[in-house]
Order: sequence, then structure tokens, then C-alpha cells
Amino acid sequence: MKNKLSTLVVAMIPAGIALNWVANSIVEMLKLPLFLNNIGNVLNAIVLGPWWGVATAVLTNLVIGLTTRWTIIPFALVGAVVALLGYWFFKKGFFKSIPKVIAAGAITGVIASALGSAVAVYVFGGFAGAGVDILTAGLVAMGNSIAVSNLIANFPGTFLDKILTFWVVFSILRIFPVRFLPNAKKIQEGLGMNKGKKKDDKAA
Amino acid sequence: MNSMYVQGNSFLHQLDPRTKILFVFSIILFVFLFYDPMFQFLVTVSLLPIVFLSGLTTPYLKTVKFMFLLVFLIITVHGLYNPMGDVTKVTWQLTENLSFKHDALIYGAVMSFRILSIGTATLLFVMSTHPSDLANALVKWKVPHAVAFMILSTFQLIPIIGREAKVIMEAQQARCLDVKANMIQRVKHLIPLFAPLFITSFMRVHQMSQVLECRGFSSTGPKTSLREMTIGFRDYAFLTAIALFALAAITLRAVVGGTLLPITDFVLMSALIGIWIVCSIYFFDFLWKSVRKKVV
Repeated sequence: MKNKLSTLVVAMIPAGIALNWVANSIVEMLKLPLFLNNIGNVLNAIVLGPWWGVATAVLTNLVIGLTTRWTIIPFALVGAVVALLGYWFFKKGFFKSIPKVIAAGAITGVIASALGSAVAVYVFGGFAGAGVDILTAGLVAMGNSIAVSNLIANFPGTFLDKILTFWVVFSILRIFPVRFLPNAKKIQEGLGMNKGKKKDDKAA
Repeated sequence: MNSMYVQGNSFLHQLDPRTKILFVFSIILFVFLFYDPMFQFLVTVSLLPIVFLSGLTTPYLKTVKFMFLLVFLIITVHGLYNPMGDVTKVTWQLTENLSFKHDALIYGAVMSFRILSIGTATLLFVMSTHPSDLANALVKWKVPHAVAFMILSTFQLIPIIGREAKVIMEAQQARCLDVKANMIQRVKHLIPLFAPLFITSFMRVHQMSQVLECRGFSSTGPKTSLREMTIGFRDYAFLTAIALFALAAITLRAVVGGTLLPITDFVLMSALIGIWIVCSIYFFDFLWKSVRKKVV
């Protein structure tokens, strides 16, 4: 059993990384101002376990850093924290109804944007090599400090992004075919899906 | 997704990936040892001949573009607005309220050249190393085989899942999924797009884990590889050179301290204007290309 899980993990983490990457192109096709680039991290954290989610986050940033832009590597920290928070909220039963999922996403969004700004300020002096940097520069010119303007510029995007990431993962796990999930029972319990069935049983 | 590997047969291509990883780390060490824009600039410039000799000039110039936007913003915005150090020491008075301050400009210049030199070293590494060789090197460094495999298989998986995403997109559009609806509707469309994608990738994961199992992935014992890399004379020579440089840099740091030469206004101004010039060249190149695209 342990071996089976390990090859599953070995196959699942690249898929998570690829989903992180491909999410960007889907969002681009829909012309939404989002990234959803943590979707694979959260999914892997819930399905495989928190540390595999962290591994997905780190490897995602490493692979993207090695292939397109190396400045993304330090932001692995943010992805890892989002994965851990995703798992924690799942464990605490936040993935049971849409309002709770949105609340969890909002909290994660606040933490992630604060952390992202901290990384950007300490490593790159407040910029990250993305389009939002121009907004940051404008806010600095208006007289805000660099950390504050980076936070203001990045907050709305990150905040919405994390809420929607959690929402998409939640909605999809609910409709997921059971036979593909490695620990379906636990996940369905976490999503609050078994309750309904039990009531049905009693009624029958 | 293709990795940025560019085929070649240069000195750098023939080095062992491990040597190149050490090279990148030593560059990171060099630029963080000193707080001196001149030194960082010299490190960056000394890497350029290697770029040229490895035959990577064109791909390098193409990919370094986005770093220049970052560097341009850092040096300009920090120089103008960063309230660090002695604010009264002005290097370049633009208008009454707007001036480039000396200390802030030093910070901006150091940051910029740090990013450029680390970026150049990393690009050299990535462009001259085949992903399989990277995985091999990691395995030789006792990184678990599974981790190396994960990195390697991601390179193959991303184009496959990307293609799948496109097919799903088109299939859903054929079923009247409106991509031009209002914002809330488009957010709701995320589910019909992501759900099939997640499910197909899970199916693929299951298949892949079975295939891995069939081919004895989880068997213990040494694993062989198609591409073999060995450390040779070249690597030792290169490593010795790096070690000598590192030794010299550390001694200098211990003796002289963080800054080597007194930083004059002239140095800072030339760093600022140099970065502006390179940025504007890239910008005009971009403009020229987009105009030509529209005309042709």
C-alpha cells in the first residue's frame, strides 16, 4: 500500500504543477484578472496531505523559475503557506459550505498577500517583475512607503484569487468521481458529503 | 513547455551540471558579499563573455528583457522615493521636489545589478543544461530519485495538460459556454472548464502510477540512465577557478569591508542612465516589432 501511494504521489505532484501552470492559460482565455496559480497546491494538499502540497508549491516555483523567470523562486514560500492553510481549513471543516469556503479563502488571501509583499520587499526591494509593479511604482510616487504600496497594489488581486482558488477546488472535489480519489472517504467527510447519505439511510 | 535548453557544444555545455550549480551559487555569494554597485556591475559584465562564447547571445537577449523592466523600476523608484540613509545628499536634482538621492540610488543600483548578475548566471545554467542532465546531477547529489523524476516529468506533462485544456475549452464553447459574458458569469464558467481538466489529469495520474509500477519505479537498488555525465578535467579546472575567486572575494571582504571603492555620483548616474538606455532600446525594439506586425 505504501508503495502504491508513493508512485501515486510521484505522478500526482507533476500533475499539480502542470495544473498550476495551465490554470493561468484558462484564466487568460476567460479574460479574468486572476492567476489561480495555487490551485494544484491546494488540491494536492487536500488529496495527498499537507507536506505534498508544500512540495508541489516548491517544485512549481522551481520549475517555472528554471524555465521562464527565476524571480518567481522566492515566492515558493507563499505557495507553500497557501497549501498548508488550505489543508488546515479543510481539516477544521471549513470546506463544508460555500460561505465557509469563502471565509477560509479570504483569510488565506490576507495572509498570502502580506507574505507575498514581505517577500517582494525583502528580496527584490518591493517589485516582483510583473505588470502590477507599475501600480506599485505609481503608489510610491503618491507618497506611500514601498512596503505599503506593494501591499495595496497586490492585495485585491491576491485576495480574490485565493477565494476563487478555494472555491474552485471545493466545487470540483464535490463532483469528483470517487474512484479516482486515493482517500475518497476522508475527503468526502471533509466536504460534508456523507451526512446527507446517512440521513437518507435512516429515512429508508 | 520547453525548457530553455539551447543545444550546443561549447565549453559550458560540456561541463557537468553539478559544476554549473556550484557556479550559480558562487555568483550569488559574490553579489551578496559586497554592497558596492561597481563590483556587482563588474560581476554582471564578466558573465557576458561566457554568454557570447557559449553561443547563447540571441536567446539570452530575448529572455533578459523582463529583468530589465524590473531593474528599471527598482533603480528609478528607489532612487526617487526611498527615504533611506541621508536624504539631503542629492545626486541629481530633477525638479524642486523630485531628486535622485545618493544613498537610495546606491541601494537601487546594488539591487539592480544583483538581480541582473544572478539572473545571467541562472540563465547560463538553464540554457546550457539539458533537463535530463539536471535530474541526473540531482540524483548523484543524493536527492531522491522520485524528486528528480517529478521535476523531469513536469516538463513533459505541462504541454500535454495545456493541450487538454485547449480541447476542453473548445468543447465547452461548442456547448454554448460564453467566453464573452459578464464578469460573474465568466467566474462561474471556471467550474465547467476546470472540472474536466482535473478529472482527466487524475485519470492520467492513475495510469501513470500504474505504468511507473510496471516499470519497477519503486524497486530498490541503483538506477541507470541513458545520458551519463562524468566530472572531468574541465570541471576541476572550472571549480578551481571559482574557488580561487571565492577565496579572493572573501579575503577582500574581510580586509576592505562591504564597499571596495568610494561610490561617486558619477558611478551612480552612469548606472542609472545605462539602465535607462538599455530599457529604451528594448522598448523601441518592442514598438518597432508591434508596428511591423500590424503593417505586415
